[in-house]
Amino acid sequence: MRPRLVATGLLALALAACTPAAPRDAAAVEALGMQAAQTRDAGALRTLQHWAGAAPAPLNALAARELGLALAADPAQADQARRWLTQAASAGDAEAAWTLGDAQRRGGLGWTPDPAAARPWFERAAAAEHPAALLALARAARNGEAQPRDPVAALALLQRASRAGSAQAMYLLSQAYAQGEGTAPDLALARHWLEQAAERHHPPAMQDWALALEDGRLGVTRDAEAAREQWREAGEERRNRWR
Amino acid sequence: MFMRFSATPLVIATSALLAACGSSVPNPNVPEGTTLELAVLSTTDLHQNLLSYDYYRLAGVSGSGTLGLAATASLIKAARAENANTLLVDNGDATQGTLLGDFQALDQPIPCSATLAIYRAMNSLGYDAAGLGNHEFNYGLPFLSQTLNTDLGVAGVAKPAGNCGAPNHPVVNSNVTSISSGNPILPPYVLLNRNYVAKLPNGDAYTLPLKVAVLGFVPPQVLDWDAKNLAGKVAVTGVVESAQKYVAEARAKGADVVVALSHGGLDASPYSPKMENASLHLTTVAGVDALVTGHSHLIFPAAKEPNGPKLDASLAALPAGTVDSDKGLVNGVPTVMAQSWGRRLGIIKLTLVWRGGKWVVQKGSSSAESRGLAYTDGKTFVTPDAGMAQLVDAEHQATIAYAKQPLGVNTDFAMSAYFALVGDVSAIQIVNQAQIDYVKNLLATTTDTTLKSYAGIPVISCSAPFKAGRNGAGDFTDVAPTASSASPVALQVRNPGDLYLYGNNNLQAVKIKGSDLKAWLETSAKQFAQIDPTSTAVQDLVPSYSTIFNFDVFYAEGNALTYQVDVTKPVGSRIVNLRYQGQPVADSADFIVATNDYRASGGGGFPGIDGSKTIYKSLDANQAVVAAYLRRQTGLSRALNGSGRAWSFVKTTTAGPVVLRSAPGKLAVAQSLGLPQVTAEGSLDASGYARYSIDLSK
Repeated sequence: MRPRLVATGLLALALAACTPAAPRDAAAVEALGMQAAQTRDAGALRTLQHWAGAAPAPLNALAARELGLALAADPAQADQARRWLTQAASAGDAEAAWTLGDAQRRGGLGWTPDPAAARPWFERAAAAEHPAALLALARAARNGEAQPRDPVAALALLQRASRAGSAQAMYLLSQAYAQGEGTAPDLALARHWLEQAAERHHPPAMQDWALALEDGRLGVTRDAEAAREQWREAGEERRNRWR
Repeated sequence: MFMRFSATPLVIATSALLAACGSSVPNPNVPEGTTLELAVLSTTDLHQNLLSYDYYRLAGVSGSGTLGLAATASLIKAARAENANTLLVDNGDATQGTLLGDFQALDQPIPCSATLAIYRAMNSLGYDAAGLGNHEFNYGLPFLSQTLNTDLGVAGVAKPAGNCGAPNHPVVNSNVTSISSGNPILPPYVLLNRNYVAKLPNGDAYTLPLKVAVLGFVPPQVLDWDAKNLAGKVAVTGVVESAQKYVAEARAKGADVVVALSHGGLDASPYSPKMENASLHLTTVAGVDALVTGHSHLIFPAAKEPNGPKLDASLAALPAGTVDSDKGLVNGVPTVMAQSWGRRLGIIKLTLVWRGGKWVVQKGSSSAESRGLAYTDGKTFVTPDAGMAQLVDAEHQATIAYAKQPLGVNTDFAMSAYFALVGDVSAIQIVNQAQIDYVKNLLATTTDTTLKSYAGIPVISCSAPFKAGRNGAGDFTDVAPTASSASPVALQVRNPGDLYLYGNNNLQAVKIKGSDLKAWLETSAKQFAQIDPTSTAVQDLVPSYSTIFNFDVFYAEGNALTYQVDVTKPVGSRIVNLRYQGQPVADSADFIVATNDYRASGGGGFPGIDGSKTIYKSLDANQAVVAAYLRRQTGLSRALNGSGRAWSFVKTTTAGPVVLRSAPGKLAVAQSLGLPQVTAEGSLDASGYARYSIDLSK
């Protein structure tokens, strides 16, 4: 442990002395971001900060986001995390904008919960078709959170979030079609999006798909064996998709 | 012609030398154009399925439901008979998945001296190497260290002293490193020196050495999924970054062939080191000759047997320029995924040609197959290997015996769901009590500042009569039916699974308003038909049991939450007299509800309950929460655990009969529960349910 700390310190000194090379590509920035977040390695954080660039140098939004995410893991550095994430979001990084919106809404990163203040962040990320941000806006619209209830707008947002790959959105979209929320009921689309969400291992969707295979709801072809298989899959997946 | 004659004796000499010393040496005298066919056989995602057995139903599975390594063993035998040169590898998620796996890891952890049943089975089959899957981390690093008999080099994780039982084959992983040591926790790859039969240009067969490198990769998400076991202890790198480093290293050390064991699926999105299913991108790393994938439990390439399952839509959608789903090629690299649970065997056939002093993989003549248990004709399933059933019989029987063991707590009342729809909570209250206990403990001990701020908010819980007629008249929860205060009954280990049917559910907590609670209850009350009190016709109180798992029954400690259901009113306006601690519940009141991930994320379509109000997501299954709570009780009594009825009907006199369908012969149960509404047992309906007369004025 100690020799490693010394080595890390020396590395940091060396990094301070010689300028780290520019990142090869986006994957290299993310790889270093993972390392920084997981190991709290000072050298990795320093290199990320260098890559992110301080004014007046132009900001590398991806490096700023990765730095912000790495710092966000430590409550004591919430202010710094917010600062870097804000810079990244302002420079067009959708993931950073969504992260800020989510923290603002739930009360993370040292904020008190404020759904109304979260909205502009979600909108910024949604403009880049960020799936989780579109889902957040869809839920606000369907639940009337910090806005009037609007099932039609919610449906459109769920469609966008689903196309962007959000399994939770696909599941809620399936329900909207099944129950006719913001649209006329459409069992075929309800079935389609339920299957899509289950394929992506969204836990409630896996459960409903297993139930549908058992009892034929939504016009699903009954298949007792496929249902048993789906229940087993759901049981295994609960350890992965619990977050 | 001359070359052929001159080269052959030299090769014979080399071959004889090799046979004598058994080691691998360079082959300078191998004639140009010599070929070697290697079949890489692979299993993936076995999930501790050894025998074709369902531990939840405690019953064997046969025919088209056949699964398990004992069945795959028959495929392995056949493939070995078909191919002179084989390598057998496993791609991870081998140790977790069935009750047998949990039994050996959690319920009765095996001692250092023992070997996991799945590894004993694999040892009997002579595996050459294996990778890890994400689920290998489920039981924590100390267990992994013990069962692999390997010091992982992680501070605070000590391997038990002495030699522990372990697989005979090397287990490799290249993208999980110890934070304390900075080194991979396992060998990133292994170089296997094998002697295989090659074919000389003249057609003669000779045994030659081949150095095969096998590398392993897991999805970076393990750090998220198993944060409890891994955070701060290990770091994960992207699979391509790891491959770039270690494939080159293995090649430099003389690897003739490189096999990547990638516990991830195929995703054509641009590469990111954070992506879960990055296997496709491994084919862009120079030097990977064969790719074994997994994790997504799919079949790749497309099943070849007659009437086999069609290619999964997610695989069919992959770009055809990159992925050939018929031949099993990704960027020209032969690739396979053998589904899961031992239902398929991956077979990659590589043709190597000796050219310019080294083995060169002939991409054009390589092939891949994901061979199923009914590969011969699509309908005849292989007979599982009987020897393996014998080999693991002790563990198998011990697991079944464990499921039937006493849980360590007695109940003085029967827990049933026959009359849950008229107010009985004998099979529901204990689940709610367990969930409340769990969430209250969480809020009392959390270090999370947001959760801490919820300390003063009442914690309530809901659960449903999961087994209440959905699958027929015999499908009702009925635990300890003979229990009474005079003769209490010991609960069994498997009973939590009866009380909480859905083993796939995780406990979650949501924070809601009083208005949300009312809407929640209204949605639950949709299960009831609207009863017309003036009608003289027979009215079925609950016309369908198909969504009975959405009949949430709430509970607060001391039965402090109470409500009534007026079934004469239309859906949406049936809940009246909703009170907490005797006071009407205000729309603005706060509550924390202990529930499951299905409900919290939108299951059942409860208004506003769509993931947006979730404040806590537990890794613990509701079933496990109930089991743990039951174990901590000294005894269960009807007074404390079975009679806290939160809800009742608004009393109504009806002109005609109202009936509730339930299992036949249970009128005495209703009477012993003290349910005066159930007045008589009537005739059976066409599906075998008995029609019980319900008097809503009582």
